[in-house]
Amino acid sequence: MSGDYDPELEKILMNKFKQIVSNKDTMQEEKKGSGEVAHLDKLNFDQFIKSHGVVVVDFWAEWCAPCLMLAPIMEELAKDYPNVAFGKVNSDENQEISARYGVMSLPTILFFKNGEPVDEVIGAVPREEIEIRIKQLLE
Amino acid sequence: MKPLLLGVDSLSYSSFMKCSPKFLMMLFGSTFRGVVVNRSPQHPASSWMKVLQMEVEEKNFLTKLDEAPKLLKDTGAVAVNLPITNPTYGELRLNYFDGLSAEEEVNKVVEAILNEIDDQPVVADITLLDRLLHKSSQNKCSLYKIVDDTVKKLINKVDEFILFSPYGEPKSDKMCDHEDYGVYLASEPRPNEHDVVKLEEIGLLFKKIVKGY
Repeated sequence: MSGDYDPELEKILMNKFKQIVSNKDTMQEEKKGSGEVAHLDKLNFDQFIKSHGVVVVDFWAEWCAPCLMLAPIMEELAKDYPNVAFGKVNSDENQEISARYGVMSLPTILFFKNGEPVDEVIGAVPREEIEIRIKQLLE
Repeated sequence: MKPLLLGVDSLSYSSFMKCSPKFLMMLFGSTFRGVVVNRSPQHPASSWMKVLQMEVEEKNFLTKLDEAPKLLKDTGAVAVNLPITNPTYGELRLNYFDGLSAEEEVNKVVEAILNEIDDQPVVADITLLDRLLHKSSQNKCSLYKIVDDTVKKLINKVDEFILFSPYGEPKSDKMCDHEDYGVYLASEPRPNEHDVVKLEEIGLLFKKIVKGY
């Protein structure tokens, strides 16, 4: 009896297999960046940081001119490093998040690895200064 | 030398790092700065009308103005190439859609400003970035270089100035589609420097520079 073909069991096993493969794809998708800079706030910040391996977050504000100078560099890097997740936090609208990480001046870029802050850059710096840190975190 | 209010439509901080305009970067580091916020409508005429403190918000160029805008009357300033009418308004009037080259426009604007600035305040505009970047952004940095050289020539001739853009770079070929953020660099501080700069505020700030109140 145990060696007999059971179509019902086969169907259940196949569905389970498909579900496992689908979950794995979703998890891998979450760990990759989207090629865009995500807008983060108190509702999605923690989940974003936790669900990606390497994360770069730009803290900015509307009134901050150097922040606007930096923004296109972040967008370029997001496209060039699809395996890194990029986000931006409007510091005025999300003061809790800024306070949690001690962001005192703008722009500040925080680098996270496995959910933990590991590095930071303050000010509108050239692309190379951000890129070198990303490369170190990806090693 | 009298004060200069100089607009450079579509000048954007977002290209400062890429194009590195030397004089503008120097001003950025050494003068009072801010971010102009202008959400739609971002037509040159409606944006400039706000600066000039007119009540109406036109969404297109006017054919003519019955009287000088309030800021010009209040300050006694001469207008040069202001894109509120087509042809532009002031001592220098250029057709907005004539395909005037960047060099041609700046040469005429510089000449008109320098002819007037010894005797009275001047409110002037350079439209080349806005006109040409709507068509193509391929030569963006060479256009920024032309603007940078022009601003250097003008700012070095005046004691007091406000340099601003009423919105950022074009986002498409549509005339009213720009980045929401423009540039503000000035020789004088402004109150609440951690607030964004509104277009109406620019007129008031220039009036304060000219008249002292």
